[in-house]
Amino acid sequence: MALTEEIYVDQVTAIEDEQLQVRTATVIKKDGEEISRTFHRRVVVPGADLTNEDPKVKAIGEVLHTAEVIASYKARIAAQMAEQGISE
Amino acid sequence: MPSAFEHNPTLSVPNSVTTNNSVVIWDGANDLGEGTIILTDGAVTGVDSVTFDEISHPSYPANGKGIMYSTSDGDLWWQSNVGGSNTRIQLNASSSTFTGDVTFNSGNLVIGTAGKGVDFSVNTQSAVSGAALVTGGELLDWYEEGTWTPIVQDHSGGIMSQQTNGPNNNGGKVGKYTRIGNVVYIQCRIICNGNGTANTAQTVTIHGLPFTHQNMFNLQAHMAVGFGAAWAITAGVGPGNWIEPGNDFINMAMFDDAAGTTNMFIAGDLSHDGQIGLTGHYFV
Repeated sequence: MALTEEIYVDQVTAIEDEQLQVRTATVIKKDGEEISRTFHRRVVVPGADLTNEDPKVKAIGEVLHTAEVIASYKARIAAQMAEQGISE
Repeated sequence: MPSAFEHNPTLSVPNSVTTNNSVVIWDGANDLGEGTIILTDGAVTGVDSVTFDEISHPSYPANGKGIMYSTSDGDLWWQSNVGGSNTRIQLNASSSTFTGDVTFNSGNLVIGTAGKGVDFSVNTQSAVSGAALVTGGELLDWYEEGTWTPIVQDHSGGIMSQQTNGPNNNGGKVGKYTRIGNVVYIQCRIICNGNGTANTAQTVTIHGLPFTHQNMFNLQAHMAVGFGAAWAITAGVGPGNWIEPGNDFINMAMFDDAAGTTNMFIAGDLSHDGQIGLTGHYFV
């Protein structure tokens, strides 16, 4: 009996303002047959460090997260914080 | 309807026998369950199929038996009798609808196309009134469960140190989620064990949400803090957490019920060994 584990990004969804919703699947196989699949999720926002990202996420992020997109995202967050009286 | 053999005396089916106007394809010992069977009182056309000539609804069969037939409108019917209980199910050819309860004894109902799901519009007022269907508003098109990692971060990107004990070295940053339709339910536990790179004077937020909150004007998602420990706060204040529209992180604030003021939660409030237990839901 051989148990194997595969972990990989199986879904990347770009949403409004180019945030990337990233799903990572962990697949357990017994003798080559899948017996378990679990998911872990996170969001990669414009301006996030892509250096150590999964190659798929990095490739998409480098295309979508332009300077203009990053500036727009940061401006929106800053405006929200200002409205709440939060200063950086 | 006369049997096919009466009208097609030349019909020859290899490895078959006839019993009570039925054709059984077999290998001499076992029912093969495959091959071409055409039951008709007209011209014989088509191959690799079982063709049911149309009939009116027949009587229910004897106990323990089932019969399949089609009606003049092309619908396919299955009629059975189990312990004296008659059941009839229908596959409607013109509208691709199915009549009767469905039970999957093994296997799942698999949605084969993204964005498709279970349409409940027949139960809702728009369907009853005939008004236009709100796109997606009555369609259950997503179910997913998984984990996420809550990270406490200041506004400069500094990160509080969180425990890494337990399974997956994740003991101080455990999070689970379930998404049903456009609602995401989350739960998490945070256990800090140091200030890390966070600035203790800066406001902190909880990052790592599994999905971004829907970006609808003024639609905040409110989270409930059900547990807190080792916070460095003064008496009379309590936490309030929420997600702003379009964000992937949770804001944290402290409400002062004596002074009547609200202040944002800073890393120093949480302290180097502070803990948070939080639950809530939000729209995507």
